[in-house]
Amino acid sequence: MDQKPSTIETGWPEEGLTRVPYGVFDSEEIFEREQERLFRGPTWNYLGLECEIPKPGDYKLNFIGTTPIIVCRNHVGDVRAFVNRCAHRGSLLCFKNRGNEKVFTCVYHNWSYDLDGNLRGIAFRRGVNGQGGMPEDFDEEKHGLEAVRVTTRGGVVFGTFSDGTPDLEKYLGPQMTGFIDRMFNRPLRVMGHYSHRLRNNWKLVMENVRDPYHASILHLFFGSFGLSRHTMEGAALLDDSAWHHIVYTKRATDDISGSEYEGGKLKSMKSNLSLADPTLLDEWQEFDDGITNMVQTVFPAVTFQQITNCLGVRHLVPKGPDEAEMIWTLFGYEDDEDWQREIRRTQANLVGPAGLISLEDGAVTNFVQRGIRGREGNEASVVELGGDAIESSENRVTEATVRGFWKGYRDVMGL
Amino acid sequence: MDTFDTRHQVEQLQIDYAYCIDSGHFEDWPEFFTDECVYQIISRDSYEQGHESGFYYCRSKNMLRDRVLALRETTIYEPQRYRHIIGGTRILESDEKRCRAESNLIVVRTLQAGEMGIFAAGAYLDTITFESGTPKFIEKVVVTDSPQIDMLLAGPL
Repeated sequence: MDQKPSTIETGWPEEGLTRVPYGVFDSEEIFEREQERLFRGPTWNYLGLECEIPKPGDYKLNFIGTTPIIVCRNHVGDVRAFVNRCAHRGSLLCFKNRGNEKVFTCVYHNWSYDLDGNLRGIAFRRGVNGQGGMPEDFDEEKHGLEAVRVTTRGGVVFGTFSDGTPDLEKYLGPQMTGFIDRMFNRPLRVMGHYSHRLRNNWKLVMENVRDPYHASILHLFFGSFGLSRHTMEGAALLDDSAWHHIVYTKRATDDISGSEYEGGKLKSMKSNLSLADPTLLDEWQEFDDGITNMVQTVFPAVTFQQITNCLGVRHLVPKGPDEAEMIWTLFGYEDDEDWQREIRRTQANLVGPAGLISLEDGAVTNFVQRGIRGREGNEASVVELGGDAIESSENRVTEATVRGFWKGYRDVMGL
Repeated sequence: MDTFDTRHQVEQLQIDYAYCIDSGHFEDWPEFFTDECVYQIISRDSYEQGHESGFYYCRSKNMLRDRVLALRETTIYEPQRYRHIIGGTRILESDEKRCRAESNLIVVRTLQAGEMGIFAAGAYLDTITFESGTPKFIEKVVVTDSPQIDMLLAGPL
């Protein structure tokens, strides 16, 4: 990795949020500060769906930043989360991605913990024949698992390390909370899980997700088959803090005549294409607000998506300055009928690492990571579409939603 | 058709199928399937949990053609090549008209700068018909041992 003065030393460019110094994308120092201030700081981080751990003792593993986390349901049915690290010598306590346990027992030395994270057993606590063992005054109560503060809404589980994080509803604001309630409005059923390894910094993915500018340009399938175009009705929304965002469109509300989409002016519009099996795009109106395409992020690293009837969570896990993992969970509702399940399943072709409207994202974020190598000094990207505004608008030819991410980032990171 | 013949036909079909993809002749890829067919790429973890959704799901030959259309016309990615190694085919059931077979699969992906690595390992769960003279897939489920895809999965496996 190039050793350039880090953004911590040089400071943020004086233009403010219309510039993003490339140094935030490949610095070890920045990466470590993110773990401390962002992921262990005053943020709510996605941990999973309640339907993945329906019964007492059910657990699944996840991460907050790089920290391994156990999310479980305790014996009275409450959701709990802990750092997946034995309080004895630091081993992973659970190493299977999911399961059901009455107690969590470390395989290394059999220290065991109940479903609330309390230390309940130490092998050879009293030694053997009066020899060895732990000191008499060893206080088990002080050696439980490190707890994560948990909240749930609509069956979505979030966790935070900080007591200073406001309640989720306050963190999100009423509009963002309303969109969570819109999608997570009844019992869910998971339809698929997979993971996407990205060879780039995690924030390039969050920029990409929050960037409505590229959607119908890079993803030719999107524009060509009329799934989303800037000429359709829609909005780019930010909450008051600007940390969180939503971009949505309403399909079948546009007239492309006179726009750049008409007559092959935009490379992204191939209007001569037609599908041999148009049932690929079969759909029904999922929500009565007419929104057909919706992407919502909760700062820092989770995205909720509705691509017509393909619903999903994309949880981004940073792995290093230049590597990240996107963990996908596709879902429907428990009360889906078979034909609805089949439509969701078919539309899943649109998303993920093989997605007809998303495959390019894994390429282009890596192109940025490679493009910023060999810099002279403190060069920065230009995020100036829509000026320097950081506010909601019906117009989606804006990077205000990207600037919102960087506002949140700077607020927390002290950059 | 005896067991030896069935095995021979299935293995020849797999060889031709792999050659088609590895040589980039994607337009010919749908022709290995019947008009009514299922082609899916799904992780083993999801497959074993009974999940519906994976990386690819096509339920007609025309949907396969649409994947090829997208690959040629709308998908943007760096040049790369697959090399399929298919083996260990087990014929699970067979009669005159069709058979079910499972085969092991490794795909090496080579990127244009030269980096190469195992991109996918897993199994083909195939249902094959012999009724039209040429063996064709009625169903091909590609079960990948890893739940993870590195960067992107463009062409079929």
